[in-house]
Amino acid sequence: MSAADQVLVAEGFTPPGPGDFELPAVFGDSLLFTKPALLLVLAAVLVFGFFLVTSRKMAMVPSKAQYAGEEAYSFVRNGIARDIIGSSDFIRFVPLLVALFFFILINNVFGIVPFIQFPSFSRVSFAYALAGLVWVLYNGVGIWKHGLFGYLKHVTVPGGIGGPILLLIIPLEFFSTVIVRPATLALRLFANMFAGHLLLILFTLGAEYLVFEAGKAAYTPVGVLAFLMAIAISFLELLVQFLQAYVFTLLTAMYISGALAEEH
Amino acid sequence: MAFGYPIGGAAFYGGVGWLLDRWLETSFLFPVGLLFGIGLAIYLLFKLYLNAA
Repeated sequence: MSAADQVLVAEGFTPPGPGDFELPAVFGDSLLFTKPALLLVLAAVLVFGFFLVTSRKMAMVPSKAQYAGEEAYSFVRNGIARDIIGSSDFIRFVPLLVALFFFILINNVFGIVPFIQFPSFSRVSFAYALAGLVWVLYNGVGIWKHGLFGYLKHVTVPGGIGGPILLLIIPLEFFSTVIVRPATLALRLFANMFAGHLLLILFTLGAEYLVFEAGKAAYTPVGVLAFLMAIAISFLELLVQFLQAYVFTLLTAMYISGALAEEH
Repeated sequence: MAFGYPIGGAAFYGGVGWLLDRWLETSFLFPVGLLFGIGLAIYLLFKLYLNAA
């Protein structure tokens, strides 16, 4: 083919970009309620429903459903809450951590569920809201435990460092615990979901274009390869989706434990 | 956890440098502040982790 043809082929494909994350409204044209908002509600209903169904008829010899519910609950209860926060204080935070983990997990896995295929937290505002909730929680816990000034001292003065360098360290500590923490917590979740979804749409749209629209028989095997890559990346995404839900919950537990600690 | 310190340091001391630049009408204090913040964060991390170990 000539160079001009190649340019034409290259121009026929519109690569996916951030615009693909701006979905139309679900009802009417109010952008207050879009697909990701609908998915958040769906995820909340699913998490609530799962734990309701699996804990409704509790028995000494558990049914399969009860067993699944208990395993899911104890994974977060023992694996995250008790290990990180410690056995004296953890129990009051378990409901929040379990809800947080499964809510994020379901929302992330939506990214590869056929016909849904959108991870809600690839919209950054939702991740900010969730991190804001965690921020209010760990700072609230710290203030409740140490008092306002006690907590400020706890946050800004690291143990084992004295002398004039403290003057330089105090604003740094304050910045990194109070301001940077919620931002990195939100952006880590958002960026992973955003990048994963972008990769998936790139490979699937690319495959579709190469096979059906490029009009060159030679491109078909490449398109098929791109489609196989999309499937492989879906499995990789499943891992990332689980990992990000886990990391978010784990860091929440670590922040709570840090706010509760007696000494650094 | 440790990741937040260099970012916080760069954000705070970079910000201080940037404000000083605007005030003094210079342009070198912003990068100096950034590097100083990151350096201080690394110093702090060394101190904290050596104390913990």
